[in-house]
Amino acid sequence: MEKPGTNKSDSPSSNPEGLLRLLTRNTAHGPYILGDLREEFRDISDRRGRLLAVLWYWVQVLGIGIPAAVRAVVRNRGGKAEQILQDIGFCLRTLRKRPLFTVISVGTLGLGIGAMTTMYSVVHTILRNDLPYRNADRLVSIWQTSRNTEEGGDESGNRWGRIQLTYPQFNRLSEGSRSFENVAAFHRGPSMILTGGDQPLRVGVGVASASLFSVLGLEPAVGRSFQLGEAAGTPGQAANVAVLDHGFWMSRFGGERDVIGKSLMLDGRTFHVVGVLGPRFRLRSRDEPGSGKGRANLWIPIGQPGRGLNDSALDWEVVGRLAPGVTLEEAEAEAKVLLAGVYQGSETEIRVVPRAADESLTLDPRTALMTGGAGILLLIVFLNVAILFLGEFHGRRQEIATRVALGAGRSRIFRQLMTEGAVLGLMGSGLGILSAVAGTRALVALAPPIPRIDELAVESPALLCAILLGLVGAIVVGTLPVFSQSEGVRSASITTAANRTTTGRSELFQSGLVASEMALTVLLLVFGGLLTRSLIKLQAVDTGFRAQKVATVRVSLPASAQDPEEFFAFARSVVREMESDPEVIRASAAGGLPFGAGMIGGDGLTLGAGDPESPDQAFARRIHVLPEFHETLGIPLLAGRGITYSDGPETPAVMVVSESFAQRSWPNRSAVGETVRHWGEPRTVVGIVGDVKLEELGMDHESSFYVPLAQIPRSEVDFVAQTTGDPARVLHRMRQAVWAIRSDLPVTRTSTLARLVADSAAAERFRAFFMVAFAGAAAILAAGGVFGVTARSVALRRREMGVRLALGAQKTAVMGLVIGGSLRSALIGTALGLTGALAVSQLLSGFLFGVRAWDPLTYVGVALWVTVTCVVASFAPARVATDVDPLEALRV
Amino acid sequence: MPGSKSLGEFEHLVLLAVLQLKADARAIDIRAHILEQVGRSVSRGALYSSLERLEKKGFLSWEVEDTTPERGGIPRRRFFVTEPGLEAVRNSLRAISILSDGLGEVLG
Repeated sequence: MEKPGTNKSDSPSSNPEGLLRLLTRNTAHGPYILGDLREEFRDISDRRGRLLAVLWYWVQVLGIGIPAAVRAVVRNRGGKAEQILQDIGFCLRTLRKRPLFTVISVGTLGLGIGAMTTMYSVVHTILRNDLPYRNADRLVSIWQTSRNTEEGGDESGNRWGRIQLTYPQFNRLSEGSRSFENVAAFHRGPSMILTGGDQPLRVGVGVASASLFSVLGLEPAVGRSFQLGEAAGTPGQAANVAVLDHGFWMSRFGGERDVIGKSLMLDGRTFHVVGVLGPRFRLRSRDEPGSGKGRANLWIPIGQPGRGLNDSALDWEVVGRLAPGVTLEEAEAEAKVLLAGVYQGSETEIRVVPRAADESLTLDPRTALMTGGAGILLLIVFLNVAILFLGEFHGRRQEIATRVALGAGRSRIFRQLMTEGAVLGLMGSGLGILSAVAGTRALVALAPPIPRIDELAVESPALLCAILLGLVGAIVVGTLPVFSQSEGVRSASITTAANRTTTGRSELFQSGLVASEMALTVLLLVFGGLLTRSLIKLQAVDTGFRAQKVATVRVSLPASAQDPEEFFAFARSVVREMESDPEVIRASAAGGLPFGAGMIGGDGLTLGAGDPESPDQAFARRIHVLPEFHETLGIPLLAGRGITYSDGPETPAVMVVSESFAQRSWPNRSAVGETVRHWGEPRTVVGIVGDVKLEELGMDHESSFYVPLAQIPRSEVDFVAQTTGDPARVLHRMRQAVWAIRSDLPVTRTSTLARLVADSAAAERFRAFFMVAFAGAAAILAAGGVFGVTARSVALRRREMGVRLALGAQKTAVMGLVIGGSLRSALIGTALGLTGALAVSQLLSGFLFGVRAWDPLTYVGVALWVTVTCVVASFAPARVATDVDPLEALRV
Repeated sequence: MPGSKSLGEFEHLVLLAVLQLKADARAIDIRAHILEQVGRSVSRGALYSSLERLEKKGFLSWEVEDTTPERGGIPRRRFFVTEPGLEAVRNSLRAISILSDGLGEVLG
């Protein structure tokens, strides 16, 4: 729990502070320095903002922590450390003399390490299992599972499907169990509308029993949690109190502690704030992720009017704290006995599992794909830096020869190069950490469909990963030149070193580096290309309706408004009000909108009105609509008529079916006039409309049928309006139109239909964007690598070029020689990369739509692109080669 | 013997700042004082290592004060110059005074 008097903006995050504590632990001043910095941090945070304060703190960690740690090492190690310090000092001086090399190396390393650290943080967040609860090992979840789903398994890889409990089941456990110290129930309820501010705000609401926070062992940081009498087993009997989530408290109330006792207007009712949760509070409900429900902004007690106490509703996630000495099996046995009479059905059974098992996830394929992409990019970075180091080594042959001549052994030179690698690696790690902090922030802001994205941050293990990657990677690539050119080091002499041309072995080594870099780049380019082509195909899919110029608002209706007559009158009035807007051509409504995130149910239907046991069964998706819905969305009427205002609650039951449903069910005759038994009642098919996609662009058309909303109302309705211009402009007025008829109803979503369709491809867009970003960065690095190697090769072969020109070689021939040389290694790399891509692109096939993993266009395109890039990158060095003055080249 | 140890230029400044600040000589204030009075921006790393060195030489000592909430429970330190430290400052100033004698024209 947080200490009183502090909040998030008062102190830096635990990472930099922990690192500084570690670095200064051997100094007498360590703890006091931390105190001083905290004081200054708060001051800077108040004056300049938290982001700058955090950056400032990191600078202090480097400026104070590292010198302090080095001094401590020197004190402890004496002479050896002195030598290391000498090496570091020498290395820093030489790096300062070569600013371009230093900046490019550190920048390149920072890019790769940053990308990898960001992805490491994502993976770590998904896989970690650190529950923030007190004695988390005693915390369990109580589920029921259907025996039928035993062999099925859910998306998290668990082998049985979890089903929540009903309120009476929770109640029985709460009152009768001895195996648990206490149990608590909660669920993420429908959102509520917070009014009283500038405009109504939709807030995520968690509903919980009074015991929740004490069961978890996470009491509010400010104020108190719910008291026993505040939650109730009868709807409408609960106290109107709320406990705020820490993030919501910070964003809405600026972290003001006097929020306790303040009132909030939620769905037209007044709630009093009694507590604020600490920043560590985190309860991962089974509703999340992927349910579209984000983190709860506030918690209210069970027993709110109209909120899920329905006896049969499987709404409640139940957690319990095991009593001392009770095992999981004993608790499960007792729960089975207790709940024997209140089961949902004979096919279910009770399971008690550690809470940790519920909150752990496995790595999803898309995150694995992105991590793989970042890993390949990092390899390319190291290869690039290796090429840079090799070039520098060539440039410093004279210096190294001098040192060898003065008695420095090979090990001394090796150590020096290793130190340089380590120093550059650490600098790259520093930059990588900063990029990862920025990268994770960007990811959180983009909110891609990655599990637990709201918990993402660069934490200690990721910092360690960045530092290790930088150190080990840079040391390995930094010392490679010694192995590639050991001959050079051994036989170096002052007089010849500067004039030696590149040896065959080192040239081969460089070509190998370029070819490897190209191969990996080609791999990323192919992946990026395939995902992009797949996205383009996906976005070009015909949805069957017109998404442009359609605006939509979702309205939640209280149970009292669901009487068919009253509902029909309300919906009709809202539509009329909306249609009075000059920018609205026509309006309608639906219970379940295509791409509207859920709400579209599906039913088994019996074809023919007569025998309910008839074998003619069909399954189709059900959408409830008001008249003119199909016209508003431009769904064509193919036969018969659409739903009209004459299809009211008291008139004969009718339905309109989709084309594919009609063809499948009545293949040789018109469906119009046929009867279908739905929910036990006969309905007449009055019309046929075109097929539409319902949820995902990549899925096939599904059979669907439309029933009049007036005959079967729904608790949430999406009003839709076809507009003359930009649909976003009328959203505000549509909301006002709802409130003009019923001012107390929350409008829970305002959007355009085009936006909803686009959002359905968010995962694909995000994947393609990232892979293209990785591939783009890789392509730039690879081009830089080709340029560097070619330029160095030209510099070392000046004399040869001079001789060729002196002997009458054409300039174009010399250019061809240079460009051809670099093309050769690049093409070998490209061939390897394309082969590799062919071999592993099958892994991508699950992500592709309308494109095969061996799509020839992508492969040929990438090969051409790489060839052109290589020619462009080696063009400038080739021009330099033709400018060599033969006389000057031969003079030495 | 501490008094015979030499005093670096920056150490000299730190000791003088501590003497001037008297009861307010905390690390943050020492740094701010040198910046305000001399216009010299000192990195925190350099200041902390100087304070540590001066303490080792026996020129500086400190005592702990009460903490404040914004320090997260970590107490503050108030520095003071020890007798050998004072002696070292005196010696240093005397040496400067002797060596600058007669250099009025050059030094202005």
